[in-house]
Amino acid sequence: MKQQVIKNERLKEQYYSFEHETGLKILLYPMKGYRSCYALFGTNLGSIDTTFKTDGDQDYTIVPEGVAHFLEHKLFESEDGDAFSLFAKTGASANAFTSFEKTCYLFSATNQIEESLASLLKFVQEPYFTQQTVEKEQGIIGQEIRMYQDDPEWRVFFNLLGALYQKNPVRIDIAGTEESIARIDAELLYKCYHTFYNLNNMVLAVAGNFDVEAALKVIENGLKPSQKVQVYHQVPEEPKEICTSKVEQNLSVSTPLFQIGFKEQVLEGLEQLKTQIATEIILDVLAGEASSFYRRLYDTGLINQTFGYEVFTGRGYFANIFSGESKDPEVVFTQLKQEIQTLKQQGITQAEFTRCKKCLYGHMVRRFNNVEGVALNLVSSYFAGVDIYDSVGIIEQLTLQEVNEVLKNSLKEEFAAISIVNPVKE
Amino acid sequence: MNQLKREELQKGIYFNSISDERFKTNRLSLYLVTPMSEQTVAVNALIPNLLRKGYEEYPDFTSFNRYLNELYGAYADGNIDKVGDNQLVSLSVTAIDDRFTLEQEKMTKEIAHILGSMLLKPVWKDGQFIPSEVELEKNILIDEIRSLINDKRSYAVSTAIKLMCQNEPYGIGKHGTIQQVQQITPQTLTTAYQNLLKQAHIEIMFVGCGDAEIAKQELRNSFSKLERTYQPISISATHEILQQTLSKTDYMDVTQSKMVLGFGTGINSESEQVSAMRLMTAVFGGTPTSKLFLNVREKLSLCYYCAARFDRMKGIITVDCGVEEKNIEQAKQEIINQLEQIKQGNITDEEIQNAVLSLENSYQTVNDSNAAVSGFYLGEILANTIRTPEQEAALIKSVTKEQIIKAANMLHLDIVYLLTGEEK
Repeated sequence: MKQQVIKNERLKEQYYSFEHETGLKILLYPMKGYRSCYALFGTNLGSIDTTFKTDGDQDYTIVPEGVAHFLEHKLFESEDGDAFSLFAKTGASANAFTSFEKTCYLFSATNQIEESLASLLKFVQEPYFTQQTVEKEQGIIGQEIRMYQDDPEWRVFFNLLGALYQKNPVRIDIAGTEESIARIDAELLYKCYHTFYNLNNMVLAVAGNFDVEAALKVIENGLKPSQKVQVYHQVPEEPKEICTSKVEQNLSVSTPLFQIGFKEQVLEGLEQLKTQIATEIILDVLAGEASSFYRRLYDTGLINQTFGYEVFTGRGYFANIFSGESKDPEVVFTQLKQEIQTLKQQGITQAEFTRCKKCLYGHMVRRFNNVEGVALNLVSSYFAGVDIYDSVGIIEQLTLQEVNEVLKNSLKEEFAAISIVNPVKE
Repeated sequence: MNQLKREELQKGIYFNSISDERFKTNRLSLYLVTPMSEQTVAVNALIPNLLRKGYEEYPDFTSFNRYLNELYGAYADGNIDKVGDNQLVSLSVTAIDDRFTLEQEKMTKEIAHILGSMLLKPVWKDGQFIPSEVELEKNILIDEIRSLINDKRSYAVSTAIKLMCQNEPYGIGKHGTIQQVQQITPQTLTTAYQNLLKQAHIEIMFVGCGDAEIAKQELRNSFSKLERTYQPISISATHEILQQTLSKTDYMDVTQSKMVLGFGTGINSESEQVSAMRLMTAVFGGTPTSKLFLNVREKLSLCYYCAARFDRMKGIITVDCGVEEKNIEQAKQEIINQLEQIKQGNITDEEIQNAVLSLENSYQTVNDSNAAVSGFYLGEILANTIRTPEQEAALIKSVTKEQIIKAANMLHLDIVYLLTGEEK
């Protein structure tokens, strides 16, 4: 097995990376002194992967929305019952989640870590779906979907994605719809499983309190031979243009909720990461709590403490999103656009750049403070095609000129949309 | 992980620290604990919202935040909470440790200075909080109270608790009411702030890899001139079990109904039955191997979530779930039935063992995050128990099946609260 030790002098940290014969990528990050161990077994299948094929297939398969999430729920069940019961014997806390571009199974444990690790490998590699268990799950997921329909934060977010993206499935709810999950059956789940849950398409990350040698032994024994399958995701060609610049919905909320998004040009790997970090600095200068813009809006009662922003990025999508509650979201939108124009004309100053860079550096150091954060970061960095330490290196070397260059090419008015959730009219 | 060190800086002001070199950050937080009352709840709730925005040296939010940015994105915040029959006004500052700075800044001393200044050197004009700032923050707090309905799950749980504790201070919402906030003036706010400093029980928590002594000295100096008229307060206050079962339904425009069952147990954090009650709650509905998860969710497919939670300070257990309107009655019956099973002793050794292991795992995991460590020990201090996570886990392990059954039999259904779609 090919082994590599990856170090970072600045953070005084290191971890091990392995390429297993099965094609699985293994990332082991022992953290001295910690009590818990956090392990993630993930595949490169997310809610956006609705059209795909393998090198053995002639045609692309199109699956109903919500399949990745449905599969996540169902893999938790084996022939002898619930996967939770496997972990119950060690006291480990197990869970799983599906995001736009990946599905992960995980546990956090403080004792009998090797046993839990073996269980994690076992249940993810042993699918068991029957028509009866699929039907039962339709009821549970149906309730989950309904729960999100009442969640204004969730709705305002997906409505925005629907406004920004015309084709990319990122615009569809991760769990799908009650109608789309009704079309899922055991056969379809097996097909998706055999395509994506192939070790060549997966990563295993372990962080915290564990013994590297012992873990490797468990992994070696727990991996099933895997055929080398190449998966092709077909993401529909996404036009540069947004779908619509405004979308509204009424829900029982007190004050309107809003999300404002700017659709950006998608890059890949390190180039994307660098643009993303530069953008984080730009957003902080523009609308961070230390900005005059934030202050003006807060002092005039247009925003409150819920105001925030994020760089939202993944396979095939990249948007900058500002969100919060406001009596008048449209005024926030107008003022934000004006503020961006002003910043673009003046450019970011050296003082602002230095201050926000220091702030972002501090936030990055913090990420190595806890076991869960490190494990999650290992997996998302891997799927993004970068290393966990790349961000720290990029931020140290980033120049003001580079940031101003990114500013010039981003946050364009013609690619902006607003999503508002209004209170239900009495 | 080192032991908790606890020292009384002066009457009713305690400095607690847990040093741990694994962390890359230090977290310093301060809690003003004061009895909950209708007269002071709203005005106290407003205090952290003003204090968090700056202090004499950095008198406005923008300059304060620019300074925090310079300190590698340190976080400063103010918060409000309720524990038992008390209100908690808190401030916290978190920053990376001296060891990781790029220019060898003395971070630990600085965060202690910031925390002390936020509390003791607020921005005033003419001997009181600035009227325009007070007005602005009042409006924001009113919006916050209004927006509590946005999160239907937590809204339903807190409404159920308010109703079942309507004759106790714990039944008061931690922010107060809109009307109470409207009545606040700069003068009443200033007086409330001064009273808090004089009378509140104060707990300071330091968790991190830095030198706690430096922070302690800095804060000892800050507090040295403070004049206090402190009287010890009691934190735990048992919820009095109701004579009957209340039932209340609220209607709102929702797709999924929320149901909350509130139970009184008659115990509090200092009771000997706390560990048995915790374990009983875990077996009942605290884990993915619990009776509620396996039956209400997995077997009957009625809910996506259906979970039980125990508040040891008040001795209250809540079970909450999201359920389709037509299944409400069935879900309710099944929840009550599962509790009945425990009461009758229909629990397997495996169920108990799984719950013990799960709780043990959560106690051991506490040590790995400084926010969790801080929260855990604050809870222990307020509960007047001061045990380590390991000691709490050992107590759980020693609980017998008979004690679990006995604990379950102490539950009384005080309320069934329902939040559901518009009345037809």
